[in-house]
Amino acid sequence: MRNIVKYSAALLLAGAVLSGCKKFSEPEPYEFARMEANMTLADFKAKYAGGPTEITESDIILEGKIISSDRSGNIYRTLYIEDSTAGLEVKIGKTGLYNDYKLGQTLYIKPQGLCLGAYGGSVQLGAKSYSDRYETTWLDVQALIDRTIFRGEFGDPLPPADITDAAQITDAMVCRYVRLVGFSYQGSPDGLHTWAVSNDPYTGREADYGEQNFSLGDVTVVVRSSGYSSFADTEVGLEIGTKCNLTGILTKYNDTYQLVLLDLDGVEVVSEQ
Amino acid sequence: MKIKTAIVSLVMMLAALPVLAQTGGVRGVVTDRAAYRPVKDAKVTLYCAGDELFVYTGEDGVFEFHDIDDGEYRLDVSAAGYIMAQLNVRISGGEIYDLMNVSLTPDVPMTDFMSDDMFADFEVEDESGSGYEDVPSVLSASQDVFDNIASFSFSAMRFLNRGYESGMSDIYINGIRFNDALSGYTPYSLFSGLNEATREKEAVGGMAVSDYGVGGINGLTNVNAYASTVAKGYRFSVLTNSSTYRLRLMATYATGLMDNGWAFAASVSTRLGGNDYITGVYYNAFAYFLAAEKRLNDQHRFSLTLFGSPVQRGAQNASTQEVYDLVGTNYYNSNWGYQNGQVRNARVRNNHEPVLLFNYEYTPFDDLKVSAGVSWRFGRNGYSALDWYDAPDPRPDYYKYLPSNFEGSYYDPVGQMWSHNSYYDPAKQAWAEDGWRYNSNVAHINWDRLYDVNRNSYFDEGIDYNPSIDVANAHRSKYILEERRTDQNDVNVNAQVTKNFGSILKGSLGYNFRWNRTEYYKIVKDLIGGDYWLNIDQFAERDFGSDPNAYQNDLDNPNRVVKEGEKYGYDYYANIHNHKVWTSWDLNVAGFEAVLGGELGYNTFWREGMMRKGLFPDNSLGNSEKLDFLTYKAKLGLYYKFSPQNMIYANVGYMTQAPYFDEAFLSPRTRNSVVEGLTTEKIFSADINYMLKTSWISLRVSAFYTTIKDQTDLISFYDDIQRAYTNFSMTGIDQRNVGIEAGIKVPIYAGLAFEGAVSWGNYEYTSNPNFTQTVDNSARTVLENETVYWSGFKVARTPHLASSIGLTWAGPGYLFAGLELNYFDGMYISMNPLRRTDYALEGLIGNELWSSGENALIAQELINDIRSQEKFPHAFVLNANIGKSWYIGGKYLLGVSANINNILNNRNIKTGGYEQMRLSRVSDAQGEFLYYKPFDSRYFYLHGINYMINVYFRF
Repeated sequence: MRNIVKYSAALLLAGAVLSGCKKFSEPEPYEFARMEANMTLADFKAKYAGGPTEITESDIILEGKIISSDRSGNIYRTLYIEDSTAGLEVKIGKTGLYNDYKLGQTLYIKPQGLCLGAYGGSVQLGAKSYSDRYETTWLDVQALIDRTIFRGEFGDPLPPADITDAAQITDAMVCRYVRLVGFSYQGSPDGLHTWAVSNDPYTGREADYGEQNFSLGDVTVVVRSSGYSSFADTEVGLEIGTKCNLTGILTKYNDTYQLVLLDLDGVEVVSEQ
Repeated sequence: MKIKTAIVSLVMMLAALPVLAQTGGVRGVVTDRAAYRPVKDAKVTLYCAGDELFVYTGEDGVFEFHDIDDGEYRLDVSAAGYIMAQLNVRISGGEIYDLMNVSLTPDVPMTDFMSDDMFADFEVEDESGSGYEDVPSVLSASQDVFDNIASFSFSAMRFLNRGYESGMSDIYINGIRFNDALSGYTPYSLFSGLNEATREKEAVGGMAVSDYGVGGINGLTNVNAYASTVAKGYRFSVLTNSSTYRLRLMATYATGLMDNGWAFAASVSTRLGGNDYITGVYYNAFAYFLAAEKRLNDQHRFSLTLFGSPVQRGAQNASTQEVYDLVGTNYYNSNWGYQNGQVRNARVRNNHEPVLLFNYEYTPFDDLKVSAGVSWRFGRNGYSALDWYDAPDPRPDYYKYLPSNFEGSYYDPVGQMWSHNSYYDPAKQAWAEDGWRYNSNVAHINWDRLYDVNRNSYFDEGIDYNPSIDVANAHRSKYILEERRTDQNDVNVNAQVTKNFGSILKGSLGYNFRWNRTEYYKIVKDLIGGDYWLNIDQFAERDFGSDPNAYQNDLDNPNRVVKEGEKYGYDYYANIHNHKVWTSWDLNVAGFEAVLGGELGYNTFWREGMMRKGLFPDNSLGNSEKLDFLTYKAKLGLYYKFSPQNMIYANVGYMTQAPYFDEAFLSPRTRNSVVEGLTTEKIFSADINYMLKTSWISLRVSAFYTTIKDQTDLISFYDDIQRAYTNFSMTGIDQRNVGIEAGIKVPIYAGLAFEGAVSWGNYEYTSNPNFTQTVDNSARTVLENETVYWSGFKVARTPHLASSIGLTWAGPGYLFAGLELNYFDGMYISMNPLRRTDYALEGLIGNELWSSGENALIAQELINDIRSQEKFPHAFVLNANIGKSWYIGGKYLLGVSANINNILNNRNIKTGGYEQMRLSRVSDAQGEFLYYKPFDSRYFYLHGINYMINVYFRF
């Protein structure tokens, strides 16, 4: 009988040792997608037909490098890619996109079933919108993202295209990563001293966009920042006329050119006055 | 004057009684509880003035002792194959006391598995509290016919006895109360897996006063964890089942009380594996029990006991019906996902809380007993969960990932029609459904992605915070596994004196001091492929990002880099000191018995913060104010015994109870602020009972009425409307529990017996409590002093009607079988108090648009959707069991027993559920707010047909 006791004790001990703490082996690194693009972004954007344009071709493959990051919160539920011909806004409707989509990373898109639409005259790629309030809508269902958006290899972020002359600001530059060189500060149309207005849970003040104007020659670009960005309440701190280099995504809303900063590193003061 | 004379005479009579002592005796018949047959060869031992007198029963099961002095004695009845019964008998007036029928329960390990089954998690959204799940309140080895049936048949439906929550029943171990000091919860998890070693219990039900304390309103169970109370010999068992875990092994050995006065006992067990129903749920559990006891010349008894139950257990989460329907099963669990093809659960309990007990008993005379005890509970209590920083919610059933997120329907009061807002998108609904049906990375946690995100999180991360971070080589984890810890140090010191004054009066006096210091904190359990985590409050960072001090969790160690195993987030102690003095008196005259109990308590507790929180630099570090409460209890029980087995009795009591630490602070993770209007709970309870136990029938019928007033509750959870941890604090919760319970067992023919039990009650709230919502990451009060309009609504978490009828059969040669049909009704959902506030009706009330015609009708419907409390459908559950045991060589017992539960395989029985703790904003096509609607509720379901097989071997 002593043996039975010994054996059962041994069995229990063995069980204890074997099961111990649950350990899991780490998964293999993510396998990057590799594809061959067969259409440039400029050609693709040209397919926009003045209204919601559903992409029906099954074989289109687009490729671009990611030029935006929503880390600072100034860009919300969308990202921008760029190839040598154009920039494109892709409305991936998730938050914290920078966790999965890195600056400089290659992105491939198989746009069949997606939809080109314009917002304020600017063409975007998104999902087909059910309501006619928007021409295209957010890609916010994972199954749809998985089917259309493919993450390629990491790479160095693209350098911004320098804009040193007002004449360089054209529709072709919209949605591209640019540096506005030597633009002078013109103040805010609303008299705002910060980049934007954050929400304040104490006073009930709601977050709002802020606009700060910069100009070069006769062209004015509005730096438009979100009230949810981490630098919303930061003072602009520039004298009128201060020359700056501004780096970000050039966008256009109706007839107004706007710049979306990725963060405040995109503001570089060149000279006072 | 006359009264005074009467009292004096009574006292003199009482004093004289011992002098008039005579000799009498005791007799009875030992019967098999299941088969209703006499048990022969049962050993009946009477402990008498240091002697052990014993006799063996014959074919007729009869025993008798003569020439015993008046007094109170312990009587043990043991027989091979039965659980030993212990009785206290009182011999008075020189009569032969007829116990009539002493029924023994066959020692078949049928029910000992139930206690594990109950631990299947019943998580609600509430993340406050000390990390103990609510467990059903019937866990009884009592001889009571109702309790026996209820504990076995009702527990799968999470039945709460008399509708009381877990903390209302008292659990003692070796005479020391072990209910959790922080929440009051019953501490079964401390000795889970030690069924054999803790089998010996003494229980009183309902309002009764126990030998060990005055007790509450839902019974008092004392677990005897002494070396001498563990059944003598070797016991082994192997158990497998399909509903909880795959395998349980248990081995127990006890010497019994040896001639040298020593007794030793040891037990070990393990429970391993998952089950057939809930993926991700598993046990990786062990348990140990060691006890030594020494008796010196029948006067001194020393005992030392150590036990513990190291457990790792994967938990289950409730989901909405939408999710269950999408995946095609009501047993979906959102807590797990595949990692390298292996199932990994994010929510794992990891506990090991050893208990060390020292007890001393001194019995200088037969009628005087002095006992003292010290206990220490320590160790770890952890519960893991995902935490994430500025990244999408990793939980698969987050509402934005569900098809219903694209429903977008609303009622337009202007156009007077149902319409769709911009969320509506049938194509996206279809895509979302597709993902849920065909992509396991959508339907479950996508661990691979979490690793991927963390490993690639290096682009300039961290540099803004802490220049020491090597940005190029260190990856800041965006997703981690945290482990919330509630590590207790709980010390009890106990002393008790019990004195018999002849056979008429018995008095006890006891004192207890409890010292508890519990640390609440969390650690990084797994960085999931990343290199570090930063100890900042991301919600405060979002709201007050321009002030780097404001978002520090630990202002004195700003932007601290945290590695695996290190603390972050919050760290504070609960300090609790309780003193308690109690007394009970038992007067027994000519068939009348009166029991009087009283208790005085003094409770002090405070919070002690270990981190200076950036948002609350002056109110987070160090001690909070000390809260103290004076409490008292008074109980009276009156019994009239037609015979010892046939009595009518009633109890009445009033008691106050201090609020628990877990409910007393507004936002304990961040600051010392105390809930306003904190006061003691006031409990009144009364019951009346009839009990009959003869050789052919066991019967008990009881009616009870209870009011509980001024209860406090704190519900903490992540509110993604506020995008922060928020706390609901409620005060002034009143409830009333009224009902009847009955149990019966009668033999039919040749070992076949009928048994039945019913508990029917109405448990409802009788007040409209006060309600305040605060957030952890600011001093702001979201909602203050709102009223929760829920008077008349039902107390949830238990069927209000539970009933069982069954047949048991005990055949020849230790063969037995049983079949029972249970019926449950009156099951309600746990309510979100926010839905019963004025706030929840914003937009619908006081708005002329909604006040007439069709709009008024729709408004009423919308209000009902928010306000009404869901009642679950009634349910039938059929269970069966069978077993057989063999005596081999007159010494070895080999037995096997099997259960099949839910034979009808009904997989649509809701055992519980809760309303989600937030509201959804409904807006029109232009995005303008219209009204709130509730989020879908989350449900738990009873497992379908399942089995349990137990093989045991003893000698």
